[in-house]
Amino acid sequence: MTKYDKLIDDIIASKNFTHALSVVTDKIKQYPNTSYFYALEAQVLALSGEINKAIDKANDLLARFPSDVTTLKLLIDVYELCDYTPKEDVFEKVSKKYPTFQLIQEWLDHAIQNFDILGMQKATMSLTKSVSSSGQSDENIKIIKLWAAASFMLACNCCKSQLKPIQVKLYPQLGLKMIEHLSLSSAPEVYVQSKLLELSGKDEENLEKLGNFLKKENDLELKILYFNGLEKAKKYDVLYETTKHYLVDMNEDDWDTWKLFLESASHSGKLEDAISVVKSYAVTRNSQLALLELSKYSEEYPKDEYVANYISKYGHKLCLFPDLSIFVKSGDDITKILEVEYETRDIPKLLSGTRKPTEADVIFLVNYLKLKAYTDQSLFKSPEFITTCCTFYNATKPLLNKLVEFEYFPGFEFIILTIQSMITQAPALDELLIIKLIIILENTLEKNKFEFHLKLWLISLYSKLNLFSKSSALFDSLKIKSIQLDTISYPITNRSSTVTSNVSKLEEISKFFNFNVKNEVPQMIQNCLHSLALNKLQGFVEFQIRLETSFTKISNVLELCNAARLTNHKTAIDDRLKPTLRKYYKFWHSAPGSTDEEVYGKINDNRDLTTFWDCGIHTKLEDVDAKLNSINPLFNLSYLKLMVLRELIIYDIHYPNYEDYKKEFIELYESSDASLTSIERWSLSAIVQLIKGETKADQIPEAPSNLLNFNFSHYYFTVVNTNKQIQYILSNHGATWGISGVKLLKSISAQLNRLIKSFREESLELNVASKHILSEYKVKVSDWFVNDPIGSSFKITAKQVNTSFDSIEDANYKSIVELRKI
Amino acid sequence: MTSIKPVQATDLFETNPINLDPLTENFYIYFYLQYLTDWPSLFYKSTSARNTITGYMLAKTEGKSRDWHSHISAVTIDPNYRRIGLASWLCKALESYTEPEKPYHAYFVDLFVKCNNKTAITLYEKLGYSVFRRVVGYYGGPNDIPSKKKLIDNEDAFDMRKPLKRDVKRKSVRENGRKQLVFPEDVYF
Ligand SMILES: CC(C)(COP(=O)(O)OP(=O)(O)OC[C@H]1O[C@@H](n2cnc3c(N)ncnc32)[C@H](O)[C@@H]1OP(=O)(O)O)[C@@H](O)C(=O)NCCC(=O)NCCS
Repeated sequence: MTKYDKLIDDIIASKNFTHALSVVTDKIKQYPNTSYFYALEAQVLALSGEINKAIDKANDLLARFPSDVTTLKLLIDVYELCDYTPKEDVFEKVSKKYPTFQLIQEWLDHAIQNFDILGMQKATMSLTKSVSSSGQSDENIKIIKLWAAASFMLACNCCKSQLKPIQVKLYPQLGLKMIEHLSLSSAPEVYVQSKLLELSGKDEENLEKLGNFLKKENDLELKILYFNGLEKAKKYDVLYETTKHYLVDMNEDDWDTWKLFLESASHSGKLEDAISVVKSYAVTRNSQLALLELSKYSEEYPKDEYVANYISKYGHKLCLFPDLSIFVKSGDDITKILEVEYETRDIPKLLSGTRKPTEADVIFLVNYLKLKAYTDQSLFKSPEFITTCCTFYNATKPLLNKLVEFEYFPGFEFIILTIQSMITQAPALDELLIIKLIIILENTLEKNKFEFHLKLWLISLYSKLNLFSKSSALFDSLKIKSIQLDTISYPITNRSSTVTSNVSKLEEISKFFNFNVKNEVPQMIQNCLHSLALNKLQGFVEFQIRLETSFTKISNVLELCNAARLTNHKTAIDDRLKPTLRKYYKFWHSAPGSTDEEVYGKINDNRDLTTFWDCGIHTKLEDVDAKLNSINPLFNLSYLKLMVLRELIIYDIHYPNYEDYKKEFIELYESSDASLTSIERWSLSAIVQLIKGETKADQIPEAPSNLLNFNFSHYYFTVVNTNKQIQYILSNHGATWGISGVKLLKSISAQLNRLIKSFREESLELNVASKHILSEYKVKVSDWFVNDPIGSSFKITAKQVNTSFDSIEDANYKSIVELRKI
Repeated sequence: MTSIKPVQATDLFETNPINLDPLTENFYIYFYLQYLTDWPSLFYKSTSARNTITGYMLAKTEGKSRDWHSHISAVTIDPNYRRIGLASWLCKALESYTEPEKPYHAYFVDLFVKCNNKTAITLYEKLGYSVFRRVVGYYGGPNDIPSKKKLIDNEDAFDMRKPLKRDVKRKSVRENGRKQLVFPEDVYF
């Protein structure tokens, strides 16, 4: 905490604030000119709950303009602790008084560390003023002016909603003024200029400057800006000639260029010429799709013909489906085209077993089925569709034996389509169905062991079956790390604290955010500025904000809170998790007008919710999704906010605006769009009743009976957790809720204690009970794979069924062990 | 359909369909960001018509005098977009960015590839790369002690190179590179 005195640090850490205050007071007497101890005094006061005194002390100190950076940072912390916004930003105020280059640099560092874009803008602007007077070289002056210009660009592009209309108008012009007399030689420098010209509405000048630069250097980023600028300004003649030049003369076969080429041709009456260019171009994927794009502009060019052309040329490439799904819509009838190609490729012979499958066959069949299902989604409801998928899979699976190491067998898609179809056709996602799906998927994965969609589906299904250890092992096999922890850890962390006490993944995620992101990203933003990679700056800053305010980061803190509560790790919540949650709460209130395009001032959901669906027809199937979400539904934003508020209500009782927590919590709870399970809704209702002053608790939902369901562990973990929350409130701030509040909490706790006691007694029987259920399932599932017309088409052997059941039984036992720990 | 576009840091949120691949390394954040700050034009991606990322090239320049070259740190393609020439396209683009006098003027392009990554080796050979040397134990774990007597395809790397125009005498490549064994510490520029 302090670089001056470790003893004070230790006393503060031990929360002995009275002692800390007396030591600090002595220090002030001893060193009356050291501003740091005054800041420390304010901090100790704030920590001990003397908010007003702390604010007064901090304001007194700030009025004396301390210029020591550690002191300034401590002052900022104090204001945060007090939830107080000083009239003027701390660094700004002091830098105005002492505009030294060094101090302003510190201000900039601080702004970067705290992803404060407007602070960056002000600091860089101040640097330009101090740099001229500090005898810096011309080169340094240029660099700093470029930083200031780039920061104006950032402010307008990233937090426009925080600016006044006059600033929105003025900032780009000020940015341009900054670089007015500089000779801009590199592409990143011209990039900043171009963005500022665009923001100022100086389109003509922008295009001229970009065009001139591109004549000298073919920079990819500036080329894209130039094309987009021409399109926006509707300069179709120039756009046509330019895109043609790139496509034909420079041989840059780029899809976006093709699109703009055809669009500009249609606007400038040059379609005939454009058509001849497309037709005389080399046969490439882009040029063939350009034919399809052409049909958008000219009726003479029938779409069907080009669809058929594309399928015949690229039917054996996996890109066919994503490529065509841009042009072919759900509901379009392309059956005839597909059937012709099916015959041409001699598929009937393959299916009758008279010829061997090739790689081209399997990819064509995958495309064929995907396009059929995509254009007619009612196919998912048909049992024949499942049989067809199985037939195709069985006819092509000999190729699995020829797979080169690390390669994928594309035929896995038949199985994905099958399981989606099976879920669609089932009235609900019950345990028996899940087990069948798991066996099918495991069997498919066995020989296609690197296919990650199969793994993602299995992870999800195992989690529904309450087999965390299986999901977790599969997840580990994906070797997920670094930024993937933010985007794709949710399949195993979503409510993991309610099925296991294992927090290793949660801790790994926490380390990623609090160590890697915190240390690496601000440093790299500094590097970005110093190496003048200014065309990357906005991306860097948005990247940082999205990580710092990430949905996963917050949900991870919530999961850690749950876990810490279960293990009675109270200090972890008080010292580490609560302050973080309060910070998030404040952050999502900091920029109320923030628009959808802005990443600033809100929770950013970086979770990758598409890769899971990026197979089959590459679209989320609503019905399947709803059924999957009926067990352990994915957290949504309301859920997150509600849970953050719950924790703050329990642990942040001294927050100056505590009443706001309560109000917002009730509003969110009553709006009921949070993705809560029934036991969670009940658990939260206890807090709702407490706030509302009600005296009678809601009835606890009935306990689930099947251990092979996520809800089983989830229910008991949540019950125990709720009890611990209540105990905490009762022993830490029960009195503030009045007699009726205490009575309510005690009565709920009594109910919960009874329930937990009887569960603990019964839990000894869990193993026997679940073995019994499993053996019943095994009989049914084995029968289905042998005797059912659909089940038998998977050709799953009795041995494979047995292996799967053995591993389910093993994982089930691990879940029981977890349950016994609570 | 494909376009080539510069990578921005925020693209890293979108790379799962590519990076879940077992042969594609997930690096620390600073590693990617360093490429963006130091070689902003050598980290680029291919995109689909929906503007999603379908593959990328992560490259840099390094070395002194005749060893001055561009280095492919990663080239990788979403499985749905393989075998349509995307990796070849990204590799050729790198040549065209680093071969000319301005700004890089490299003598050659090089890369390391696991000796058992047959697919990638075929791709590079088709593009004109050849094995310069075999780096024993390059991909081994911290506890594996590499030995020239025990070659392990899953742990060794081929250093593959393709000479560019500046290397008029093709000094950056050699015959029989597969037989030239070196240790990781011998590889520096
Ligand atoms: C290796 C990889 C980059 C190839 O990407 P790609 O875009 O499919 O490659 P291309 O389409 O440009 O292939 C060019 C040539 O390489 C060869 N090739 C590529 N993939 C092949 C495969 N799976 N089997 C056999 N040859 C193959 C072929 O000769 C191909 O030409 P062809 O399709 O006309 O026969 C891709 O498979 C991949 O991302 N793999 C995982 C990551 C990786 O290994 N990267 C390399 C690390 S150094």
